[in-house]
Amino acid sequence: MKKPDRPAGACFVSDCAGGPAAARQPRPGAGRRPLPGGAPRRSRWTEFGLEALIRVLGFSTVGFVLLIFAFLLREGLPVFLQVPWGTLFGTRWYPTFGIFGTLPLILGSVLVTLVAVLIALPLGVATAVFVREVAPHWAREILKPLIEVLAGIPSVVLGFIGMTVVAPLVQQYLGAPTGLTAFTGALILAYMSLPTIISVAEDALDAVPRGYRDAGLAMGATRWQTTWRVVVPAARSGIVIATMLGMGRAIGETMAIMMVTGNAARLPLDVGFLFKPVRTMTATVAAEMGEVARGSLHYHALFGIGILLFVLTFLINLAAARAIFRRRRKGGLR
Amino acid sequence: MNRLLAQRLGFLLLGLATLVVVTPILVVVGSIVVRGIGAVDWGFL
Repeated sequence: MKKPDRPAGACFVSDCAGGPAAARQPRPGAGRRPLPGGAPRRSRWTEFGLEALIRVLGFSTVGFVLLIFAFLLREGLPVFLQVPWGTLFGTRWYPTFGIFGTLPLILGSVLVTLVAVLIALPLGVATAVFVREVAPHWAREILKPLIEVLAGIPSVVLGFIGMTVVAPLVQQYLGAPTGLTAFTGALILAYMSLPTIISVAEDALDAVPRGYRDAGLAMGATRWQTTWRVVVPAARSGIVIATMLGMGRAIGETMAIMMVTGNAARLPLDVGFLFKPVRTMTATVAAEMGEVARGSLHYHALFGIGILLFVLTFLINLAAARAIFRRRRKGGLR
Repeated sequence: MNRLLAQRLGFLLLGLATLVVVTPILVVVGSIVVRGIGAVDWGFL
């Protein structure tokens, strides 16, 4: 039977060495809280110091993010105050002529990111399910490091492969006027976000209790039915998080996207827009920041793009958090 | 549809998706090695 909790240093009559008399006498050091492993008292100071250090480091992370945002606001706000908002969200980006229409850049980023997620999500989730639920042990031991290799390839190398291998294929087989298109960028971005989606989704599948699988099989379901109708829905919140992290990876990517999308600041709204060049926000900042005069309106406009990117990422994360919260309230997610 | 057939089809699709993910990784790494190995010598390093 479980014994009730007792204060440190106290003991029950029945189990105290020395019997009832010894039980009435406080033991030496009874006032102290025993430390794990019988550590000396001065290690409390070490523990306190370490706790304080961890706390400071944790808060400093938040502090750094706030400082970055403050810097971004300081450098980017002038463009929102000096340029009319109609022009700022206009359709033409000609900084040399003082025209800072960011709509083509925003739509370029959104288009490439959405298509990348549409490609990466089914592939990533299917691969995670295969690796976690279907693949034999030896195959898992090969597949997991191989997928991690993809995460380790620098984005400039993937951009290089995109330019020399993928772009000619897109031009040849999909009839695009040039290989450097939104679709090429989305394809490269999809592969860049795959390791994130796969590893987070696999962790989510791993966290589903074994009892769920056992219950499914015990009810007479096949392995496929159990996986598809029990395990994957149970891991849905983790899969949503994996998607959002992949999307964050995609929308913030710069180098590879700059190399393969053609960098034409045009509205991607006409027919066949997916197979024409686009320009993203990140590529614009990277391409123009090195040449801009510090303190000029163009300089502030590039930081303004940074603010828009920040807000866009924040909205995506907020939408994901809301979706997860709503489902949790309904009891649909773990 | 037969349940076992559906299972086979499902697992086959998952395997194909994994193949689609893994093959380009091998192509990329292979392409880097094949194209770059010729340029690597002591002078280059």
